[in-house]
Amino acid sequence: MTPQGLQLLYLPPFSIIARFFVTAVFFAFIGSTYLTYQAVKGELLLPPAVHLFTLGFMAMTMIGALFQMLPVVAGVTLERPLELAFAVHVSSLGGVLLLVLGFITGGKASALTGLLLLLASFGGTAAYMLYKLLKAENLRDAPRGFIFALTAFLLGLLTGSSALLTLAGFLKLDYARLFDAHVGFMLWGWTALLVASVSFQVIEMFFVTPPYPRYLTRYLPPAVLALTVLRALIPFVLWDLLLSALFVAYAAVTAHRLSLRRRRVPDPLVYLWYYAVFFLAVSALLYPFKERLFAWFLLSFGLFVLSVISSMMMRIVAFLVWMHLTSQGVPNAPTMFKVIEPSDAWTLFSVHTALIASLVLLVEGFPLFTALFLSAETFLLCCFVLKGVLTYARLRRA
Amino acid sequence: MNITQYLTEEHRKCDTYYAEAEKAVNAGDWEKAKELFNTFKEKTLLHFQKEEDVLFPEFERVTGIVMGPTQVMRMEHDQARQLMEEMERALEQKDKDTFLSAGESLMVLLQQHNMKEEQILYPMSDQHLDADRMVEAMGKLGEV
Repeated sequence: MTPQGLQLLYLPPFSIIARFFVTAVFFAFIGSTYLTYQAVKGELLLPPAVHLFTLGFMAMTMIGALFQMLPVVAGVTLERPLELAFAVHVSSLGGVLLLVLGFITGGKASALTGLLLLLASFGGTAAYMLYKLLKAENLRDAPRGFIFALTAFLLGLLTGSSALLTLAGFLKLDYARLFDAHVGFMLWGWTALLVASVSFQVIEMFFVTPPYPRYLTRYLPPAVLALTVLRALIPFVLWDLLLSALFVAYAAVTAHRLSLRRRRVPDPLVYLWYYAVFFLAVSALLYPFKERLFAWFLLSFGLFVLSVISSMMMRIVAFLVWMHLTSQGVPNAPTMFKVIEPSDAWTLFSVHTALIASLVLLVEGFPLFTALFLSAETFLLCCFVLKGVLTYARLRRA
Repeated sequence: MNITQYLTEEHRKCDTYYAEAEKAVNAGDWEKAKELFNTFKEKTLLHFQKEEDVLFPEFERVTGIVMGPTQVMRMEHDQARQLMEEMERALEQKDKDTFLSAGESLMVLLQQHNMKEEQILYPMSDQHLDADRMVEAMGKLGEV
């Protein structure tokens, strides 16, 4: 008999992460193009743009990454991963498109069909991953954090669905409260907490830094989930202040750890991590004032996520291309910087910096420049991820 | 000290050796880089030897799992050895780009390899093997 976890040390097929990542970066590009179109027209319809990014880009990336990480980081296997990934990918792709179409046109049928597909795909997978993690033994703090993040994701789907059904007239609930709870679960409980949990493992290992303090890795995930649940049940400003303080503290500790890294080679992907924690702290500070500054809060949070996903995705794709080609016996498989070159990473970093600089113009009332830089960055991200995937496909066939 | 603590500590030491070598290559100090890289390579290979000669055979004997995770770990050790050879050639040719590219691949390979060992294989080894005897036997091969 093979003990639990051990048969799972093998690398999940490359096609799984490739399909999620390629779709995610295309959604980011579509989202930024939509924002540019809105900037030209002088309008701002938040729900379609926000969900293109949060579901199409962020959730697609994070679910794809979990397919890769669960066997490696947690020793957790997913049965028939290829078939599962195919089903989740296709149905979530349709779900995001239909939901966003529903938001744009106001079509109830489209939005509700999209919602059902998303509940089945993302909701079903998250519940399955959560079940597998709960059954796993001796989890470290990082994969233990995934449990809390996935729980928040499911609660976010539940509150989001209820809000949409209320808006469509099928339920008679307090929409504003559901919406507020949905934002809390999805942004803090799911996205920020998953990023934090992954960082507990990868910051120390990839950049050779001192480990995170144990009290942070152990208690941040349950504290964040508890606060998001509390604020959903008993709305009170104290919960928001505490959430804000927790993530500012996490951001400060991460920046400090990065500053102590032993690997001192100039690396744009490390600098993207600095941007990420800076904007995480800014969004956390804005959060208690979200009634007045909601768009700025969302923008800061979006820059946090874009920074961290860009950094991780460029590294993961380049590594997996090399790893899978080598494992398949492809001679002279290109190493990471030959798949996605350092100049690619520097270009992306420069455009990202320009995007951040353009916020000055946004404050002055010129959103078009920010939207254009965002489109340029997401276009580059599409190009680099595709470059990696096509390199793999070409050399594998050769 | 149990197996997990003992071998995890070695992982972190090897990471530090690599970081020093990488820093010297980036600075273009090739002589120092060679010296530091040799230390990194020697210590990493010693760590692999402790696992391949002591830990893995005992794990396979006690659990009866021969063609399982230990084989995957050995395969990843081989991939790491190939990368270290490529880096050594790059050092000889003073080829910074090739060294850093192979080095980045090696670091990520080793980190995901280490995660699997630290999360799964070492704790199971502590559970099934005589940890004190294993640590003592590995210690006899030298210090990383």
